[in-house]
Amino acid sequence: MQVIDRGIIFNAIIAPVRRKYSVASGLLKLNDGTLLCVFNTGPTKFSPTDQIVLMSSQDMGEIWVIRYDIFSTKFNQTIGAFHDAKIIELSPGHLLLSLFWVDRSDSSWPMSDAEYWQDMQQWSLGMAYYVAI
Amino acid sequence: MVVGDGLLCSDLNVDTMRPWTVDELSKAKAEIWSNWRHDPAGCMAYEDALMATGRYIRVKVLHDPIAPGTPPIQHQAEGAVEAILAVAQAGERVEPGYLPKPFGDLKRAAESKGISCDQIEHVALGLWQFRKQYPDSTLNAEREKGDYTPIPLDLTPIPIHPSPVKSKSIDSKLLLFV
Repeated sequence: MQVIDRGIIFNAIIAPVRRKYSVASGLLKLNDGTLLCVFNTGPTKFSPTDQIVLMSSQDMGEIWVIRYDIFSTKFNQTIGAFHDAKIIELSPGHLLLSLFWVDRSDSSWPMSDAEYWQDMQQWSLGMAYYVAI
Repeated sequence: MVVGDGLLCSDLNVDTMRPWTVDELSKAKAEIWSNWRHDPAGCMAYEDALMATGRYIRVKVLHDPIAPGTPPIQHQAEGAVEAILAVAQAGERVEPGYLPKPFGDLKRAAESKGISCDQIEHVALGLWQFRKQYPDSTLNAEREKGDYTPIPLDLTPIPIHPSPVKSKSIDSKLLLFV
């Protein structure tokens, strides 16, 4: 493995409040050379409104643009939040996005400290797949 | 970066692509948390090792459909699962169910008093996805009960107006790998 370049993809310092906590990035180089970056974002760590953002670069990271930053997080009519996105290219033109969905229908459920481990049973573990062509 | 104990170290030094050394941290004038002062380099390397290892498992499992039956993928995922289970066993000696951040290295995991929710989240997700992908692995404590019926999620993306950002205009540590 070799580092070929460095740069900022998304600067949370100057981002809106709802994107101040942007972490857990996944980077992928597509077959056509496009770079994709997907990451978790929200106003705080483990926010009930956590989302994912998908950005892309057509010039090997010189310029990044946000492609999507709002996805519906309802699952079976239940309000949730997304964490930990992973993206892979199944074949040229076919992407697989894997997400961790958390039941956030009750925003009072804590998720931020190990001492609340027992409350994590209230999470709903699920995978979501989004295939784009 | 996978180290000898099978865990993935986090927070690497981008110039060396290795875990930070004490000397490097000192030269970089890195801000060290007070609870890391007994072993700054070991704590930095393993601060997010559980999370990184859990994410590594997921990546391996997700790549399996692209290259089905490729032995190294499952082998690599199993190595990471074994490492996490070893951390869990170390934590079990402290308190049932305790999954410690293995500050320093795996051998010292039982000495650790730290854990955070995000570490557990990524570990749980990695182990769960491993069990789904490799149900016959002897590393699974039990077989998955029942079948999963995928429920389509309405992931309707809402395109926004592109707001280009020049990445080179700001100094950073974010990397592109080949």
